Amino acid sequence: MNRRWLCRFGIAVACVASAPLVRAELTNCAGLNAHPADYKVVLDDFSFTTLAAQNDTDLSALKDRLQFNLNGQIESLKAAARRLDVNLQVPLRLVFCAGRKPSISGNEFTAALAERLSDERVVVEMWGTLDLASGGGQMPLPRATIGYAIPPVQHYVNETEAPPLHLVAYPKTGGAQSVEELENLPELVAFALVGLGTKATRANRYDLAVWSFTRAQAGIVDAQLAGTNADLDALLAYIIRAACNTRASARVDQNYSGPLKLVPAQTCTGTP
Amino acid sequence: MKSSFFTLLRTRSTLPCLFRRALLGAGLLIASLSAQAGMMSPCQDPIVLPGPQVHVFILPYRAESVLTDRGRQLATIMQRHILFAALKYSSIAVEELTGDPGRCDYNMAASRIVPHLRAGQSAIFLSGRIFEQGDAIRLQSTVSFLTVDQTDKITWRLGVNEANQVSANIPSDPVIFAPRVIPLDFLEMLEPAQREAQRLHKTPDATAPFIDLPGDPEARFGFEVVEAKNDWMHVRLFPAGGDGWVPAHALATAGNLKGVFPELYFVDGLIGYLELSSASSRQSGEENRSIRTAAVASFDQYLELATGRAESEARALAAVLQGSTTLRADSNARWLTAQLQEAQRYFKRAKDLAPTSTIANNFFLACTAALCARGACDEGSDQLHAQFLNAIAQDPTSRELVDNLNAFYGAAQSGRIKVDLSPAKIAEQRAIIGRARSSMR
Repeated sequence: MNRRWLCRFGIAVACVASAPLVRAELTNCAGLNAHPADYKVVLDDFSFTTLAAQNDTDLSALKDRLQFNLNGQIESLKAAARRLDVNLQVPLRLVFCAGRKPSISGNEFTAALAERLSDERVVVEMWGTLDLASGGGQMPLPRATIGYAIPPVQHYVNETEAPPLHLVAYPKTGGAQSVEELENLPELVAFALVGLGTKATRANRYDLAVWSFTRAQAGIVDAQLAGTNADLDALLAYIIRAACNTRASARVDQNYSGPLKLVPAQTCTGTP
Repeated sequence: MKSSFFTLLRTRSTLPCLFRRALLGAGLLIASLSAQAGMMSPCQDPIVLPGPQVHVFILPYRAESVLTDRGRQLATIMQRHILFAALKYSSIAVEELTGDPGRCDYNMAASRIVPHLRAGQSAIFLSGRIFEQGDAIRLQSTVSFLTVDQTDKITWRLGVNEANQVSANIPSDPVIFAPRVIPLDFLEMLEPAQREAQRLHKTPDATAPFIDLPGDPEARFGFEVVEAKNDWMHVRLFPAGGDGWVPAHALATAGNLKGVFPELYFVDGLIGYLELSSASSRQSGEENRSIRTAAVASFDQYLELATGRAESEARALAAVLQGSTTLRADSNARWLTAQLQEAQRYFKRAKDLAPTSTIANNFFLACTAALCARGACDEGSDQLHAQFLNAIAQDPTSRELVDNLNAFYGAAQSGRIKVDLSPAKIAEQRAIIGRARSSMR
């Protein structure tokens, strides 16, 4: 093998390694159209941004750890779905969309897509992107970004009132008391409940909406243990305010005769 | 040294089924009288004893990476550890179920076990997922529990009228803990202790001859703890018979295991709670108080170690169980005001840990209503009323909260509870409750 060929080969490998491995793809997902009456949590693929990222053992290890923690959240979601179905007759299902890979920033989630997903009763869509971040001239650092889109919030709520897209970098850098929390994903269940509460409010299902917002509040407070950010704080303020507004609507709705009629009026500020 | 009973156990799979059943039956007869028992059996064919009030079943953790041997080893360590820690309780069996985790989940195990439990017996199922990477094992546990033919409910009367009462119920939902990380070198540190705990010595002496307890996945055996002496347990094996001594102190260092795995403290407290729940009338007051003290202390340790973990629901439940344990310790359920106040403090702790938890709110409100009916609630009845409404504002789907508020209004109407509401307003609120109930399940 001559030197010139080797040189070309080396350049080619370098180009392939640093080239984007996947173009952001928002392929259709068959599961979204099935069971139109059910609320849905959509779980997309975790994807690597480059071949170099895909071949990085530390990044693969981070992906596996996140997958383990995600599986735990999925079990929590399934348990919550069972409770919802039994107690409130609300069907909630998980939809796994193999091959669906939104970009790291979630730019694909336009207003039109949010409306369509919301109409399909998607309460949250989650995806993951893994890449190697430049570490200031040092070795590249494995980094994962988990994205969450909450279509009902994006469609029905002003973005200044509640951010519908959330990008969480892993490992987190908050002041958690245990390292486990820095790679945990408690946001998934909380965001699903925010989406469900928002849909339920629009359908005048006040009890379900308030229950969802309250449970979401607990989940977000748990998530804040590993660090918070302005978007998470804003979402927490939104759900507290939304729960309050939902109670106010229930009190004046002549068609509603549930327990919220017992509760006195209150000023809805968005603080606990 | 290998004794004859060990040989019998190892060849058990060649024994005719009926003979195995007969042997097991004889073992069960012995074990039905036992105070504590440890067992290991295949998931397809679990041993269920008629005697112990509480059974703990440790299911094989589902490996999400190549891990099988270590996962099994960890389960065995946990089984021994739970049993040794539970020696303070009077009637307990701890069983490690073996087999393919894919065919031994909670639903499958419960379907084979629960029909064999008698009324009043309780079962705790510890299951989970496990994942090994680099120098650590990650695991996430789930605890489910039930008592056969018995609801997990506490009722407080608000007056002389028996119909006017409030109640709170522990739901049957599984308790899911946050993931934990256990360093592999920590398990390696436990291995010598684990090996020692597997040995059945002829006398309570580390230098005495010993045999190893069976450890293969097909092994099916149990042991009852006959006596404890200087940190040694005298155990009798069944169904095969034979006895020996196991060093209970061998796993002393495994106290550290609970440090990284605090749900073991939760399980420990839960055993005590369920012992009181299922058999409080059959034990003396002193025994009950001793169980209560041990259970509350275990929940305290869990709460301390789980601080800052994303499992606020589990932590709130632990505090609720502390309060419930306090009340269950009185088998007559004729609580003194001081007992109610002590339980109320635990329920308040639960509420503080998880302010939006319906379970925590309901236990706190029901217990406080009972205190208000005795004129002994520090918060005052008006504050309690506001807290009731706030709890319903957070969870309008809870039938129990609505029923309890109705009972509170009933006590106010009868004058048992003094509240700053006009009779017309109370009647109006009760009318709303009547309509709301018809729309709730």
